[in-house]
Amino acid sequence: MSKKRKFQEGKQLLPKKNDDYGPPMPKKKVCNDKRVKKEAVTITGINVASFAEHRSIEIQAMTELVNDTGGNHTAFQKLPRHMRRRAMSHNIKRIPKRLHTVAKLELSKTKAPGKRPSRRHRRRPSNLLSEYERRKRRVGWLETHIWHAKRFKMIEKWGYRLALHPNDKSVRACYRAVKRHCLLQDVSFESYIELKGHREDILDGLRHFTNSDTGPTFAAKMNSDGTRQGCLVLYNFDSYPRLAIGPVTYIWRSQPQGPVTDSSQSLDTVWLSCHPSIHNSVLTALEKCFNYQGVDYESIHGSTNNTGITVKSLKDHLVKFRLFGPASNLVLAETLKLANIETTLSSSPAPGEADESLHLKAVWWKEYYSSNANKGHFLKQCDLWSKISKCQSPSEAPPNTVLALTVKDPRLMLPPKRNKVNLSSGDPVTKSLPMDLFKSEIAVSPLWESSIREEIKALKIFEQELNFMKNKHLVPGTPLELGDRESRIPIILIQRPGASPLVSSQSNPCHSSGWDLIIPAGFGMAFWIALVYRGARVGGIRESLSTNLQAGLLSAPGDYPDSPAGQAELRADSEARQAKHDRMPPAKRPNFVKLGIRSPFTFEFEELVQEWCDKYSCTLGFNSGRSKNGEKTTMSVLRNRKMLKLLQSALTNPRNFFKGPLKMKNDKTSNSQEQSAILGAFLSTETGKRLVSEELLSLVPVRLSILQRGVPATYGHICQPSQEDVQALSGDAFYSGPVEPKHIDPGVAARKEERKERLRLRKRQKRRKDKKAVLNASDAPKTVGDSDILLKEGKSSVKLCTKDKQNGGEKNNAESILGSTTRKIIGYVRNGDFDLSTGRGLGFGFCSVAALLTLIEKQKERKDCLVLVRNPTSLQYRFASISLLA
Amino acid sequence: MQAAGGSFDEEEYSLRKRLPPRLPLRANDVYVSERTHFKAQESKCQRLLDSGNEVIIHGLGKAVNRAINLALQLQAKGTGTVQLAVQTSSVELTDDLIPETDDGEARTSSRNNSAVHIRVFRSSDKNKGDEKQQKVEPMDQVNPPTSLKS
Repeated sequence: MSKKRKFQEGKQLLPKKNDDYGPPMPKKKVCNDKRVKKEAVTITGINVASFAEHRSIEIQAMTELVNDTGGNHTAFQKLPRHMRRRAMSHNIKRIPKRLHTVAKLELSKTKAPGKRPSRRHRRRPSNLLSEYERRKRRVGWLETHIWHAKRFKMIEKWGYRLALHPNDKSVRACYRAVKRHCLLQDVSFESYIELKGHREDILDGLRHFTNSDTGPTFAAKMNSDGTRQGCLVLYNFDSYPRLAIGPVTYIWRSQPQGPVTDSSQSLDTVWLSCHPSIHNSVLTALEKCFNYQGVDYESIHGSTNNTGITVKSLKDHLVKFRLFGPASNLVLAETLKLANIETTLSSSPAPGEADESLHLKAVWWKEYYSSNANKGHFLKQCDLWSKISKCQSPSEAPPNTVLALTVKDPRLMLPPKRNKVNLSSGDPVTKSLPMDLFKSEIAVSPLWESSIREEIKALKIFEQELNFMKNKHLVPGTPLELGDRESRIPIILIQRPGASPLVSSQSNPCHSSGWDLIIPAGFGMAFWIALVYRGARVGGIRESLSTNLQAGLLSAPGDYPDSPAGQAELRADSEARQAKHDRMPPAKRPNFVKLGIRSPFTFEFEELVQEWCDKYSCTLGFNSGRSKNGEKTTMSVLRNRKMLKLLQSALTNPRNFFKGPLKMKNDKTSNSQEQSAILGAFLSTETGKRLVSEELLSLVPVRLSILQRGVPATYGHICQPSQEDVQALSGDAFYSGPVEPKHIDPGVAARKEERKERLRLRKRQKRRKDKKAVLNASDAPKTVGDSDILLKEGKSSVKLCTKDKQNGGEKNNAESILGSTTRKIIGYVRNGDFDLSTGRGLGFGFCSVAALLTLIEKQKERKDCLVLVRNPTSLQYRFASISLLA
Repeated sequence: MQAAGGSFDEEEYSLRKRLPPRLPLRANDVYVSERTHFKAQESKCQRLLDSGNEVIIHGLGKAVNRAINLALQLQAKGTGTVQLAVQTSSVELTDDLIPETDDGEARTSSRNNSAVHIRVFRSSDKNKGDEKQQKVEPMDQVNPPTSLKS
């Protein structure tokens, strides 16, 4: 069969000229075709010269084809099957004589693949390393890659090979680590971008990417002295509130010296940390903003434009570890031992290392800490760290505090065995951290200097050397004293306050608070092992996502659906789900038409928002021309803090919210048309007015706490409950929610018909096959051909069926989203999981603002807003209470 | 929501409460919160009491009632063998005021909240009338200890 197909393919390659004169074809079927064609043309005579000419081209093409068949095969592999012999490659005499020369030539050209080098050889450090270098050329590796690759499911994401989740059964264990102990994640992929220049210039440029409506911007006074990390969402140049890029965090370099005359010192530096999926877009946006030309150049050296601002990517220059959980203080306190920066007592170097100590005379820390100011800062930092490290939880420190330290090489104090650190009961505890401890000195760090970072990396003692020294150490197990030889490593610790304040009142406060540890590149593994040996449990992307979900934090980039990176993430996810769905046999997968799910693998935010906006403006008769149907709307997410606060206060307690403004409304609205209470209440404030007039087409992130049973799933519907549903729930506290009636699938009848047809065909085919077994072999090709036709028929019928199905789907799509289910859809679930802290389902999704306003209006008598959540694979609605998340 | 010490403008600042400072967590320290399941906590305390003859129950603010209730339940179940030593204290809590605008400075405000620490123990001599009560160790004493007997 395959031979035939190959031949036919080859035939198509031939020049299609005078096909009827072609050389006789060996296959009957083809000949038949020829004969049929021949009847159409009458040949009067043959011009020999032109005939030969044409044939020559054809013959040439054919010989080429014959020579080429099989593509990259050796001479004897091209032989027809019946001429092949065993061990032809071994013994050339087994090849037909006419091919000997060709085979010999080929043999001389090819080299035997040879034996795979022995495992011992492959595992030798230098060979292993070169192999690793080869492998990480295509996709980036973190410094802890090998460690993770042995223990984690690795996936390719955002240009890196990243750990998804541990291979052991550990979902609950990781949750417990976040709740009670310490979870560790390597987030070095979150790369930094350095901006250097005069502060005013930098702020002038960055102003175009942010808006003060969304909260403090880069100019925030709170973060300007470098003691706190700021966090905000970047937008494309001057395009707020559309075209978001994504979330970034930033820290200013702390320079407490005050007015320094030195020009290089007076420059300010800010580090922006962003997700790798948006790293490039942020970098290009900044470059554009600060008028760059040399894009390639700047990524390595940094370049200066007319305003004197340098933009530099610090990708792979820093390593960042993220610690979650109350014991992260303890783990860090054990791992980070403050370095000895006294430069005086280095007169007695270890014997045999005199030359090295000579060489090391100008190490960075001696130079850096020779200044009294720097030493003073260091002492203050040490003092503060000793206090903070005795706190029982990282959330006792001020939120987003930046603390710089210089610490010892953690490999020197590595415990002999991995164990869990615990605070012994006798230890004193810090009771309070007064604010005046957190001055700008505590954030001064030499880590900001690229030259120092380079030097630290260069001066790192090799693992082998260190092991040798440990081996030679007189008392095994005690920490090595290396004096000046030892690395002093500047690090920066950044506190994360954990659960967002909007949700922390409902669930466990300060869940997932912890520290981000920034260290210079090269020391990743040293710190990693040290942290792991102190009992930190390691998680991957899955763990961080679930932690963020529980803490009510958004995780980049998937939770930012208005940014290109977020959309790409969502698209990839939906494609993966669609592919998985398509792989399943029809009987084993849900029929989404019957379930009434219009888009089981995508979020239809644009349509939803548009429909709600139209509906809202219709029902309220509020025509301020905000829904311009003509213009194409791009999705945007509401991030205006004031509006969010207003909406949140209305949503979390509608009854309370309407108490105040309603009275005012009664005074004000004397107009004949009965305006809704919600509108009146919202219009009574300036923010509300703007919300209603400008942001109806936006989405807001919401958190869904399921009341009873059920766990929300991605692409599920968030729906508005009817009055009866709410009443039923108030009557019966265990009412589990309404059920969506089964939808009618218009394609069912057609599909059934198709199935019948297919079965019939299959039966016929089988019958023929049986007959064929009885018949002699001469009839075989014919039957094969017939079965081919049968197959084709079957396929076409299947195609027909799928086309029908698509049509059915289209029909379904044609109707509006709001009319597609009995309870009106107000949003979609982005992510959901079982919340181990409350023992109930927990979800996170996006809702339309207009829909939320309608919901509040409907439930203004209630103390909390209820919604219904329905998963794409189920007809059952579940009650959930809804609150904002931002 | 409790007002943070001193008033602040809702528009200008958002409130973020820090965790209360926690005392060392020994095996027999039990911190009661509003959300903990009462029965579960009771059985946990009972187990600790049976194994080590001493449990220390801490309750802060709203959870003081629950802590007392828990201790009394344990005592009632102990049929006269279990004794209580109660101490009250004030805990300093810190709230962060995070500015919503660029010009705002970060502020903190501190307030005090009352806490109760109850040592539930089985005395070895089973002397019910024994009035001398041992102090609950890790507390800094703000208010004088008050005895609480059912």
